Amino acid sequence: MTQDIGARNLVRVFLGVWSALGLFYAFLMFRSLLWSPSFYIDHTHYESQRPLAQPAALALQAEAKNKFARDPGVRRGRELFRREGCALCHGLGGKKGILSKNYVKDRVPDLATLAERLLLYEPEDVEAVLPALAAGQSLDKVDKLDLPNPAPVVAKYADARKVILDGNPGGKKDEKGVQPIDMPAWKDTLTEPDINRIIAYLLTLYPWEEG
Amino acid sequence: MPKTLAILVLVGVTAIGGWFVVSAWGGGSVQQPVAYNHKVHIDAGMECAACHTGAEEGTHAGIPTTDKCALCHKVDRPYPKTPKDLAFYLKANKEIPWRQLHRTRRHVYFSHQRHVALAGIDCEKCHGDVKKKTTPFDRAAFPDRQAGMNLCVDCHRKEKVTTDCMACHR
Ligand code: HEC
Ligand code: HEC
Ligand code: HEC
Ligand code: HEC
Ligand code: HEC
Repeated sequence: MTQDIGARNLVRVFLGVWSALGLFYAFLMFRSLLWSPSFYIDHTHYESQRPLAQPAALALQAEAKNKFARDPGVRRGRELFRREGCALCHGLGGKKGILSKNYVKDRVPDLATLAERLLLYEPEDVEAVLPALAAGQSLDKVDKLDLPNPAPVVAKYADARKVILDGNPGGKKDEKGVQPIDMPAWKDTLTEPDINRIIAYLLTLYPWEEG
Repeated sequence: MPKTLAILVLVGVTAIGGWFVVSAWGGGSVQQPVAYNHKVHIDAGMECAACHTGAEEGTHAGIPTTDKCALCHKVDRPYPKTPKDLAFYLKANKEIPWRQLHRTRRHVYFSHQRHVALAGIDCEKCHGDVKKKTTPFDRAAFPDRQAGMNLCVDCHRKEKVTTDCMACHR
């Protein structure tokens, strides 16, 4: 038998490749035995799972609190209030304004009490103006409002709408101090019907005493 | 000649290996374009979901656009203080190219609305103490650096929520 170097090297290469593959396979086996996602989750307790919260059920709860919460116009107002950035300064539920340096009232006005500022002192008063606003109508364009004294309410509403459209500089506490954060003008961002819907949403936030 | 080649290969392999190790070990921090400060805004009373508007109503929390910053930050006003890097984007009216760092793998489905609005879980549970953060995010701050499966499954077990693979992997 002659020593055939070529043949011997071929055998070496062959064995080398196979043992490398074998080692790699062993590593994979080892790794999969050590950790596999299906080991981590040994069993899925289908029977003991708690039911998921249902978005519809939550919406119904909200509705129970305020019968206008599900009105499409009011929901649009709420969405705009959050998405356009009103909530940045006035708070997500309009409940707590942010701190503003050198502002007369320290905190940016909260808007959950807007109803009161529009002179709507009873839930019935709000109900009289809300459907029109939620439909995007301006109160000064509505012929007849079911209110004892509509004129001042419409005037206050027009003031509020003007502040939203044109903005309003924040009042200084100390005349020589810095200018506090201003109410920005929204006339380039929001249309008048949308502003009416936002006002409608804010009117639904008033914390009426349950009676 | 073969010796120099071998050394070159060795150096190359070490460099590539080292890069992998470093990037796996918490290096690879990124620089955000603006030195944003969560703490000053939270202290002023802003709420998380007012900026991250998708956190309560959407799948993705989202990062606020520059026009939101411009509601308060005016280039020519001393208050609120507007640093140069922010002023640059406000003046140019350009979007700030934030680098989003928190993301799950593509094969995982995660919805903020489900966890924040429906399950009422605090942001802190998953994102840590953002309220006290004075520097912008330079890495994902999930407890395990990544939204590892353990983070999700441990809580789902405790809360008796599904651990079915197909609920998260779609
Ligand atoms: C609702 C108002 C408001 C909005 C919106 C807002 N900021 Fe601010 N910002 C502030 C206030 C208040 C301060 C504190 C400034 C001070 O004390 O002079 C501040 C401070 C800052 C600072 C300086 C922080 C420091 O370390 O001094 C930066 C940077 C900043 N904001 C970036 C942003 C960016 C980026 C956005 C948009 C995503 C934004 N802000 C949106 C009100 C706001
Ligand atoms: C149950 C855990 C959990 C909770 C609670 C949670 N997050 Fe997240 N968050 C994640 C995960 C996972 C990602 C990666 C999402 C992805 O890849 O789509 C993420 C991503 C983000 C991002 C990156 C941008 C984006 O569009 O997704 C922001 C911003 C964010 N979260 C903010 C918040 C805020 C604000 C809250 C609280 C209101 C919150 N998160 C609550 C798990 C959570
Ligand atoms: C004034 C707007 C604002 C508020 C309020 C705010 N954030 Fe942010 N957030 C930002 C901006 C801008 C970024 C992008 C810069 C950065 O990464 O720090 C960001 C980034 C993040 C990220 C990282 C996103 C990513 O993947 O890169 C998380 C997580 C986050 N915020 C959570 C929160 C939580 C939790 C709160 C409430 C405690 C909160 N934010 C309040 C503006 C805000
Ligand atoms: C701190 C606890 C907690 C963490 C962490 C958590 N979850 Fe959840 N998850 C919940 C709860 C509670 C629910 C049920 C919500 C409900 O009642 O609607 C849920 C529900 C879900 C659902 C819907 C389940 C279904 O049956 O359709 C998915 C999908 C989900 N989570 C994915 C994830 C993913 C992916 C992660 C990791 C990035 C994660 N969760 C992290 C608590 C958590
Ligand atoms: C509660 C949500 C959840 C459940 C249930 C879940 N996973 Fe995952 N899984 C994840 C998340 C989130 C990741 C991404 C981890 C990361 O970013 O590193 C992941 C990662 C993985 C990976 C790694 C993929 C990679 O890219 O590295 C595998 C494999 C996997 N899961 C399989 C499973 C299997 C099999 C099951 C069922 C026994 C399961 N998962 C159940 C959330 C879940």
